[in-house]
Amino acid sequence: MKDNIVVEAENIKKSFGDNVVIKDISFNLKELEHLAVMGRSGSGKSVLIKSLVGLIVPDSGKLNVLGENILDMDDDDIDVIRRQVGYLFQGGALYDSMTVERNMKFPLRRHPDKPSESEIKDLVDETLENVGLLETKKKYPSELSGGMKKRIALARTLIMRPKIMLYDEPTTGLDMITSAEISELILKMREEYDISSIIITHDVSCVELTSDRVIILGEGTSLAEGTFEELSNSEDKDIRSYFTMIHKKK
Amino acid sequence: MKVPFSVKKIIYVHLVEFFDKVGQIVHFSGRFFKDLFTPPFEWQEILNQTFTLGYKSFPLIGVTAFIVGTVFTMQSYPTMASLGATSWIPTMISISIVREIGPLITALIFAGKVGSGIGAELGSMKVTEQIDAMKVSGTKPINYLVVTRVIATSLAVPLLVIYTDLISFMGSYFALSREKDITLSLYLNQVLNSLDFQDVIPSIFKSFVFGFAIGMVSCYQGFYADKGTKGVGKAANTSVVISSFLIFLIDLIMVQIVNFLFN
Ligand SMILES: Nc1ncnc2c1ncn2[C@@H]1O[C@H](COP(=O)(O)OP(=O)(O)OP(=O)(O)O)[C@@H](O)[C@H]1O
Ligand SMILES: [Mg+2]
Repeated sequence: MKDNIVVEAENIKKSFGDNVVIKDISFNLKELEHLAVMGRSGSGKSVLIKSLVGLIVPDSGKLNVLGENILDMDDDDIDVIRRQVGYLFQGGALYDSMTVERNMKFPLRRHPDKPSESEIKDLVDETLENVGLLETKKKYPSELSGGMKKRIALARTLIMRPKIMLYDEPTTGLDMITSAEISELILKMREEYDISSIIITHDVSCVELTSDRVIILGEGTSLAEGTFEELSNSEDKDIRSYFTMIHKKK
Repeated sequence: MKVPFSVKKIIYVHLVEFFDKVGQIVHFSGRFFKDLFTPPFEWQEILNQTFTLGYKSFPLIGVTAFIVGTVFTMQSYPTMASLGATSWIPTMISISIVREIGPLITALIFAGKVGSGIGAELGSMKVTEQIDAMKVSGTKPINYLVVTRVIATSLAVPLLVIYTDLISFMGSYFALSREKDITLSLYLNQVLNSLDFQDVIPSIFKSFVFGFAIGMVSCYQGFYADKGTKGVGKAANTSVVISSFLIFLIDLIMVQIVNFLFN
């Protein structure tokens, strides 16, 4: 891990009407770091990472991604940042009218410095190979299982060779073995492509395996921050409960 | 007894809502025109959409057009006969179909069939975050999804109107030939001769505007669909309601413009 900061959020606030989702959150992400974000359903985890790619605009605060202040950027400039940030959606968000192959090619073909068709083909094959699903190339998303969809969605973002990955619940809804495979994949991707990541998850073993640092969100703010060891052995039993109760229930 | 609502109020609320929507759609069109001229141009997808959308409504519009031509002729025949003016029927048919009936039924059927389809398709892409996924990969969803579909509907409706007109003429000939001894070539000759520039060009232009409105409204509804399955249904439904109403409104405005320009 290096000391360069790739994401810096300061005093972020966001409400939808009367619903105050984020009261005040500040955090940063260092280069090559894996930051896990935990928190109960509805605590604003997805809202937080959506604001990092301009899908949601915070009401106030400062937000720097890859050294650029993204809050006063126009659409074209923000697209430049977006091409360097991968986002794995909670539901995968595969384009269901396209085959796996076309899903993968879609962002590449529309890149300003797009590679040639044969380079694109090689990239698709290499990335699918990496997630172990080369044989699904000609299939439609509806023909894939939940775990396969997650892996294809991951491949689709990785093919852009992002500097930062944002994972929204990469293992939710998957069995324990598949979850562990996805966690391994997240680690492997960092080795292979030098990616810094924010990982939203309820999955304690995923946090344990992948994260360097953990933030717990609640009541619109950051309740605690530390390594997995520190937080799972915290004095505060509410903090500990994120690692035990949720774990036992599953 | 106190009436809990007033008719005036209901009409007022609906009108305000409708024009509020139309305002937002006009704003959305602004983004459409901005992206219309920014690369990448999705030629492949435009062709693909024009073909599929046009093709989808081909059979339904054909059958309807034939029936309308037939019924229209059957209904006007007795009146025209009593006036001794049955030889005017082809002229009357041709003008009313080309100027009004053809564009109107084509646009209404197209709105019902294709508009709802676009609303539902983009709506479900919105709900399942596929549109957001396009955004965050740095591609322009308006470019790929909206520009292509609006161009496709704007091209498909005028083409379909020409098809509707021709099929309606055939329907009308079918009805007429049962009452009257008239050859197809004589009939077609009369039909085509009674048309001129001021009937055809405004009709095609009007159809183009209908197509544009249907595409724009449906894309807007899909693009801003509410979350959940309900959102998808609502997007499809509202697409049809607003498009259909706009079709009549545009028709009303266009007739004024055409009369002003040509008379
Ligand atoms: N686009 C939106 N419009 C209005 N409210 C929203 C929107 N997005 C999120 N919210 C609200 O913000 C709150 C937090 O939502 P968010 O999706 O961030 O939760 P989460 O922490 O990701 O939960 P989960 O673990 O269930 O995914 C919720 O109350 C939700 O209703
Ligand atoms: Mg979430």
